[in-house]
Amino acid sequence: MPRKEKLFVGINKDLEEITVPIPDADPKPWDGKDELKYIGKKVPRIDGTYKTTGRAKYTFDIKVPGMIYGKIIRSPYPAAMVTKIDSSQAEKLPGVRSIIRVKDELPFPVRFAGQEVVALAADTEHLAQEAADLVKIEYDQKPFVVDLDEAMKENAPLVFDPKDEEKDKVKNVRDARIYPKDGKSEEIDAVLNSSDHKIEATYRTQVQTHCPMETHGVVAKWNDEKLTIWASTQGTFMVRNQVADHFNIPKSDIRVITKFMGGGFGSKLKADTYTMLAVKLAREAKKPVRLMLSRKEDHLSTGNRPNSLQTVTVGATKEGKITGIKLKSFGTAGIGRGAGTGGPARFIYDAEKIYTEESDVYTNAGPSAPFRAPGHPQGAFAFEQTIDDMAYKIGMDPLEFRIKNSESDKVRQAEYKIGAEKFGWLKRNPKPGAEKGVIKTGAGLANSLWYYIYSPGSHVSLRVNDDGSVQLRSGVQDIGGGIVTPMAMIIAEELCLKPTDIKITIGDTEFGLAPTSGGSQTTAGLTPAVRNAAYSAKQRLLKIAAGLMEVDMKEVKLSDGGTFSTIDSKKQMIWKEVTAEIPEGQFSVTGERMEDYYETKRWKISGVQFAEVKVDTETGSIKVKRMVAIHDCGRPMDRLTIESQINGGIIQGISFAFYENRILDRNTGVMVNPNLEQYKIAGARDVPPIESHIIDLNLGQSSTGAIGVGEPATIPTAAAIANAVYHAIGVRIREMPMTPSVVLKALNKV
Amino acid sequence: MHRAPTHNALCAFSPIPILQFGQININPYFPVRSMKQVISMSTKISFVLDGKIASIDFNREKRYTPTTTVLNYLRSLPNHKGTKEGCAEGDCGACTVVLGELGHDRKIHYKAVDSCLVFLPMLHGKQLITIENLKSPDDTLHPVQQAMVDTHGSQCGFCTPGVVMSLFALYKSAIKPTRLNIEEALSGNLCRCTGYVPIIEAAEKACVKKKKDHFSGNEKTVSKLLQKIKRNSLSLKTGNQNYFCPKSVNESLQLRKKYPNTLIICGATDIALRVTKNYEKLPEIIDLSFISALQGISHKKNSTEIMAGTTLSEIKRYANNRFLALHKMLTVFGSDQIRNLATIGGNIATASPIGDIAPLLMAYHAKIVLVSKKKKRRLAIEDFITGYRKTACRKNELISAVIIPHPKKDTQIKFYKFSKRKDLDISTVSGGFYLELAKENKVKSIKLAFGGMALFTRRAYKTEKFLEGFEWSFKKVEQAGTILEKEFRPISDARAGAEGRILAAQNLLLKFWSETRVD
Repeated sequence: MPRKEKLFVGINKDLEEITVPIPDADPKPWDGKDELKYIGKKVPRIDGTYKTTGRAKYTFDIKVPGMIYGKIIRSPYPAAMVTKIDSSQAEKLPGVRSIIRVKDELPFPVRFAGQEVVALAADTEHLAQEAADLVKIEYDQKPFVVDLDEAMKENAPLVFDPKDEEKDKVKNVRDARIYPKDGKSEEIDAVLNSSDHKIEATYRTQVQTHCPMETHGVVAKWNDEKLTIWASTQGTFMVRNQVADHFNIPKSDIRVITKFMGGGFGSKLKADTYTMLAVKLAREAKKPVRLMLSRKEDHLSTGNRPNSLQTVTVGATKEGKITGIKLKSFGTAGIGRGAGTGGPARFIYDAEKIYTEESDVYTNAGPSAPFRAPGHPQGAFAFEQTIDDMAYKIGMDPLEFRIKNSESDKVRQAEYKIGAEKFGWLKRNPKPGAEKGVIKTGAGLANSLWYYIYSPGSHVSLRVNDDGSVQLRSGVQDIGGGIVTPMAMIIAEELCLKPTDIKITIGDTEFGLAPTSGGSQTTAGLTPAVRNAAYSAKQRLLKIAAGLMEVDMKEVKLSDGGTFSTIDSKKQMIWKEVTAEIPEGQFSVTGERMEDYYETKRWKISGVQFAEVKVDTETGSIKVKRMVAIHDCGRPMDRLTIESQINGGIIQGISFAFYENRILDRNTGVMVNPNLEQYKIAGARDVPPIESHIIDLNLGQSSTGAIGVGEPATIPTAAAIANAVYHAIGVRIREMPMTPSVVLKALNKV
Repeated sequence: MHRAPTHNALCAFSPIPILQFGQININPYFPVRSMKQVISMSTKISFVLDGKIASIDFNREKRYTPTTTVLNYLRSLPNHKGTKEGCAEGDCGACTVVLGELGHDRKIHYKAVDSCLVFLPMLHGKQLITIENLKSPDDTLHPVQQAMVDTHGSQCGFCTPGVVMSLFALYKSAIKPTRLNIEEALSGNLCRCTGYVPIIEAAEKACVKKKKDHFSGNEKTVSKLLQKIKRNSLSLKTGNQNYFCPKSVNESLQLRKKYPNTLIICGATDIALRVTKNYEKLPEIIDLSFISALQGISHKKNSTEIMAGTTLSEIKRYANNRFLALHKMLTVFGSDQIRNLATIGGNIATASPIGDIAPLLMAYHAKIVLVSKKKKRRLAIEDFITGYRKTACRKNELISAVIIPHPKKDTQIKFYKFSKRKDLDISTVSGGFYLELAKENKVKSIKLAFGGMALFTRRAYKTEKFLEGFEWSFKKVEQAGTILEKEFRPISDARAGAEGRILAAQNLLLKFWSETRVD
C-alpha cells in the first residue's frame, strides 16, 4: 500500500504543499525544502582523470586477440542499380578473410552516394583498403535528385521506385503530417486574415551532420553462438535488440559493451547497417572484426539534421495577443524520414488556433538521424523570428509580447524575469538598426521547448561489501553528459558518503536495463532507480546497525561520514563497523524506475536564451558578444554537468547558425565537404561569455525529481542570435548558415 | 580525385626541382658538403619516447614505412592509445602530441603538432611527448590535467587528450597567456560537447601561474639523450618507398638528379593528406626540413629576410610588433599545430588561388629569392606567381628566401580575410592592401591584392590605377568598386557565389578606406 507524503513543490522558493502517494519501499521524493549536501551542487565529473590521462578506452581503442579490420565499399553514385559485383581479385589477396554483399541478389538499388554495397575484412587496415580497391562493382546509373526544391517538382526523378515500394514512397513529397489545434486549415486562414496584424515569412535551414569526435564504429566478436559487440553507441540495449532481431538470435546471447563513447548527439542510437555488416563479417571470417568508419563515411551515412523550407504565418490583435499560428514545412531527410519542424510553433504560446502541416521530401541523400532536439532548432529559427517580427510590427517589445502570450507557462514566466534582469534587456534601444556606424550591436531572445521524456523499467543493482565498499552497476552508456557523476552523488547523498567513495560500472548490457541517451531522458529515467536502490541499501544497513546496537531500527539514523547512531546519539558506529557485519560478506539490492508518482501536468521543458551580437555591415561577419541562458530541468542534480550541457548546446547552436552546412553537388549528387576542413564546426574562438541560470523546479514526481536538459539547451540559440542580428541591422536573415555572404546579400537588398 | 588545398598551408616544394649539384658552391646560403656525408646517410631514425631513445631502422622494420604517420605509429604501440584520431587531416586536433626540440639555446622547445600530419622521419632527433607522459613519476596529474579535471573540461572526452596536449604546449611556452593566447593555443582543437568554456577556464587556471613541472626537472637528462642522436642525413628505404632527409641543398641536388620525379616537402601539412586520406604511396620524397641553412629570419638594414624553410610559427613570433599585418594574418592562419609544421616556402610554392600569404606579401612589396647553381635572382611576388598553381621557378632553381622590405613611414598595410570561421578556415576572399598617401590626401601609391577572386592571387591593377593620384575619399573608393567588379571574374563555389565574392571584395576595400582615412 502506498503511503501519503506531503511535498513542497514549485519554482525556486515559490512552493506549495501537495500530497502524493509513494510506494512503501521508496524514499520520500526530494522536494523544494530539502537542502542536500551534493545534489544541486557543483561536483566535477568523477571520471575526469580517466579522460585527461588518456586512460579512457573507447571503441576506437578496443583491440582483441585475432582481431581483423572491416571496410565498407560504398556507392559513388546517388542513384543506381548495382548490376555486377566481382570480388575475385580481392579474394585472392592473402589476408582477406571475408567479403560480403549488402544484398545477396543482384541487381539491387542504391539511393544515395555513400550507401553500403560490399563489406570485407582483412588482417590489416591497409590490406582491407587494398582489397576494396580490387572489388569491381558495376552500376547502372539512374536519374537522381539531391535538392529539396528540385525534388518537389512534378517531373523530378523519383527517389523510390513506385513499382517496388510501399504505398507512401510512391512520390517524393510524402503526405503531410497535420496537427490542428481547434480548427482546420481554412478556419485558421480565416482567423489569420481577419486579425489586426498578420505576418507571413519563409525560412530556409541547412543540413547539419552530427560530427561526433569519435566516428561511428564497432568491434564484433563471436564466441560459438554468443556475440559480444563493443559499440560506440548511445543505446547499448537498442543495439542489442536490433542485432538480435536482425540475426534472429536470443537477446540473452548478445552482450553490448560501451565503457566510454566519443559523442553521438542522436546519430548513435541505432545499430545501423555498419554494425550488422561487422557482425556478419565476424561470423564469416570466424574472427573478431573492428569496423570504424572514417570521417567521410560518418558525414555520408550516419545521419544528419534535415534541412527545411518553412512558411510561418502568425496573426495578432493590436493589443498584442496571438490569434493564430500556422506553419507549413518541407524538409528532406534524404531517403529517411523525420524532417518536421513544428514543435515550437505548436507548443510555446497560448494561441487558441494553431495549425501545422509538415511534409518529408525524399531526396537521393543519406538518411537523417535524430539530432539533438530533432526539428526544434530549425523550427525555432523560423518561428521565433516570425514572433519577433510580429512584436515589432505591433510596436511591442519582443520580450513583452512573449510574456503576454505564454502566461499559462509559469516556469517560462520565471525564466523571462531572470533572463531580462541578468541580460539587462531594458537597457537596449527599442528601435532596430538604430545604431550608427559600420559595426552595429543588437540584442535578441528566443524560446526553447522540449518534452519531459522517460521510460519506466530501468533498474540498477547496488552492492555493499563487508569492507565498506559500495558498487553500482547499470547497463547505461555515458554519451558524454556524465551520468555517472549524478549517480555517484545520489548514492553518496543517501548513504552519507562521498561521491568518490562509490564505484560505478556502466556500459554493459549484462547489467540492468537503462535508457538510451536520446530525448534527454537518461537523468530523468535512471536517477530515480539509483536513489531507490541506495534507499533500499540504507534500510538494510540501518537494520544491521540496529541489531548491533540492540535498539529498534526506527531508533537508528545514518548521518554524515557514514556514521550510524541512535537518535539520542548515545550509541555510535562508523560505516565500516556496520558493513563488516553484513551476513555472507555482501548484499545487493536493485532499484527500479517506476512510473511517476503522480501526473504533474508539466509535460514540457521550457527555456529561454538572450543573445547580444556585433555585426560588421561591411564584411557581413557576426560576432556573438554574450549569451544568457535560463533553463529548467526539474530538480537539478549536478550543476556542473547541467552548465556543461548548456555551454555545449549553445556552441552547437552557434555552429549551426554560422558554419555547418552539408553541401551536395547538384550535378553529381556527391557531398562536396565530407570532412572537418570544409565542413566547419565552431572552435574555441567562437565562444562568447555564456551566463547560465538554472531554475530549481521541484515537482516530486519521482524520487529524484530530475528532468533532462541536453536537448533544450541547443534549441533557441540560432533563433536568439538571428533576432539579435535583426535588432542590430534592421534586416531579417531568413536562411542559415548566416555566413558573411548571406548577411551581405541581405544588407544589399535594402 | 581533386583535393582542395588544406589550411592554405601547402607545404610541399613540389613541383620545383632543386639546384644541380656543383663542384664549387657559389651560393652563400648553402655551405659545401662533401660526398662522404651523402654516403654516410643513415637508414635509421631515433627520437626520445618515454624517457628513452627509440629507434626505427627502416631496413629492418616491416611494420612501418617512412610515410607512416606518428599517429598510426603511436596507435600501434600497446601503451599510447590515448592519442586519438578524429579526422586524419589536421582539423580536429584529437591527435595532438608535443614535440620537444633542442634549440640553439640548449633548451628544449615544446611544440604542439597534429600527429596525423607528421611522417615518422620528422621525429628524428626530437622528443615525442604523448598524453601518457604527462603524469609525474609519482602519479600526480600534470597541472593542465588537474585543471581540466577541476573545471569539468571533458564531456565525451574523445578530444580531451589532444586538448590537454595543446594546453601542455601552452604551459611550456614562455608566455604568460592572455585569453587571446589561450584561444589561439586551442584553435586547432575541436570539441563537440563542452562549448570550450571549461577548457578555456582550465587553461587560465593552469597556464597563467605556472610552476615547474617534471619536464623542467628532467630537461637536462632529455637534452643529453637528444644530443646523443646523430644528426646524419637520412636515406630511408622500404619496399617501394625512398625517403631522404638531406642536411644541405647540395645533397638534395644530388638526390634530385638521381630521382628526377621525387616529391619535395618541407612541413608536409598538405602532402600528408595524400597518404592519410587518399592512401597514396608516395614513392620518392625529399624532406627539406632538416636543412638548417634554409631556416631563420634575419633583420637587414632595409629589409627582413625569411628563409624559405622557416615555420609559420617562427614567423608569427617574429612578426609580432614588427610586421603587424603579417602577424594579424598568421593568427588566423591554420592553427598552432599547423603553423608549427608549415613553412613559408612551402606555402608560396603551391601558388594556391586562395592563399592568404601571397596577397599580403604583394602588399608588402615582397621579393622571392630563387637560387640556382649559377646565380641568384629576385622576383617580385607578383612575377613569381604566374598562374593557377604555377610559379616562375625554373627547373634548376629553388626558393631560398622571402625578402620583405621594411615599410616606409606613413604607409599603411592591412590584411583582411572574408571567411566563415575566423581561424582554421580557407578564405572566401582575402585582401592584402598597401597605401601611401601624398599631400592633400591624394593617393600616391596603392596596391590591392586579392586571393579567392581569380585563378591565382592577383592585384587589381585597374582599380589601383583608378585610385592613384586622386583623393582618398569614400566617394572615390565607392566608385573604384565598379572598376573592381569589372576587373575580376570570380567563380561560384561552396564558399560563396561570384556576386558574393565581388561584393565582399568591394566591401573589404571600403573597410580599408575606413581604417586608413584621414579626417
